[in-house]
Amino acid sequence: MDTRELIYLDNAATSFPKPSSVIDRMSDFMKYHGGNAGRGAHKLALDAAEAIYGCRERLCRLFDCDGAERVCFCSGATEALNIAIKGLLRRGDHVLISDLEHNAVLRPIHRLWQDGVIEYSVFDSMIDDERRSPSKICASIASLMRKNTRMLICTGASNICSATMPLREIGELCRKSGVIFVVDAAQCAGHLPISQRDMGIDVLCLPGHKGLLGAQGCGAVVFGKGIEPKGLVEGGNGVSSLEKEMKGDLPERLEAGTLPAPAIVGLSEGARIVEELGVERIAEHERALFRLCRDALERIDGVRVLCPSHEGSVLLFEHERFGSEELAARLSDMDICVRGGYHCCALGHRRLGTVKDGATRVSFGVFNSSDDVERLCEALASIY
Amino acid sequence: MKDSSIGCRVDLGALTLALKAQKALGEAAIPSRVVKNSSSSFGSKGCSYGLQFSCSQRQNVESVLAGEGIRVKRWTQES
Repeated sequence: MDTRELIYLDNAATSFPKPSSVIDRMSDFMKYHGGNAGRGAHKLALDAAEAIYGCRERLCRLFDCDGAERVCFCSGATEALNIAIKGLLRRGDHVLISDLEHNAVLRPIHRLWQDGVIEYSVFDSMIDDERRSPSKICASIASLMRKNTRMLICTGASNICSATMPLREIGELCRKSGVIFVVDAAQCAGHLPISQRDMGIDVLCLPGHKGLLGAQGCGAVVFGKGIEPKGLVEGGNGVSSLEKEMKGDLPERLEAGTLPAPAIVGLSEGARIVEELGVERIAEHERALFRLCRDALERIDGVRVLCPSHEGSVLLFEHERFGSEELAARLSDMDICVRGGYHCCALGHRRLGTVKDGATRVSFGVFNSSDDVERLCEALASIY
Repeated sequence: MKDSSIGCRVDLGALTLALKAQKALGEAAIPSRVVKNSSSSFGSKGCSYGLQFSCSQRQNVESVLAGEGIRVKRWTQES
């Protein structure tokens, strides 16, 4: 498919296009360095291991983590969240989640609740409240805390609008309360500055294929000092092979089986590009596109932008004459890629009152331009 | 008197830790090589990774690894 004329505005699902240097690094790795890391000490195996370690170091630097060895690779943010949830929670624990959480949080938590393992409560993100402030959100969280509250899971930025959460303040509250603070960074990694240490994040869950510009199928979960989860998958990890149990240190303790080294090498290059461009600069670029798009959409008859005051990489809107999927399909026919429906975010759509028909999401990435926004708005204005 | 050309080894367990240690030693201008050990008679419980370095650097290696908080499973000297 020739994508040159396509307007891609679904970067919250996965970023596209990928930088050519990401593709080149992955291709070179498979051509010239394709050993299996941790499965030998020959040249190609060590080449692969060094490339993977380089990615751990880069992510550690980009997100200001406690050490490269705390960066554990997995398939993406969903698996990262499952590792955090199922690897750290115990029977009788109480968990707090925000009302903006993706199904990658809600479903594993709900499953543990159904199985009688945990209880959970949902706290108010105050997404559409004019009085919204970090202290009010923290007060709402504090009012729900119990003696057995052991974990709080919070998205860094919503996947259905550009609302962000006050991570530093929530992290401070969690630290004071002895609660493990887990952050779903699916929509903020590579889009907004994150410092794991400064924000007091115990577990940072990262996708590799969104704002970090890597390939699909690879992400990471980064544990702060003192957070030692159980692994969910056992198997060979190249360490203590005569033992029946898979013990030892992070990251190998969580990394059974062969790692997706080509994807990790691509992620490393994507993260390098993000570092080079600067996350603040990327964030400002996306906010500028958001403002341009919001202002233009609000002038189109029948369009209503949801949460217009939260500026960032994600813009959600409704059209009074078309359902979200129909609108997305019509735009697709005009070579514009946006996403309708519920975006795997039942909690958030309930919160916004868009459960009946979902809403249409436009999500910007570092490679979008004002021309893309203009094409979208022209197309929407032409649909009756 | 010890012969410093004989390789010393430090067993660290996981490969990631060995790479971290190698990087730290490199920053301290101490050359080292990642090595794998798979002999059960060696005392390990299967595969493990570590570093090989010149025995003349043993004290410096100890100091760098301690400074990085890297736990050592075993020190050995090749005969």
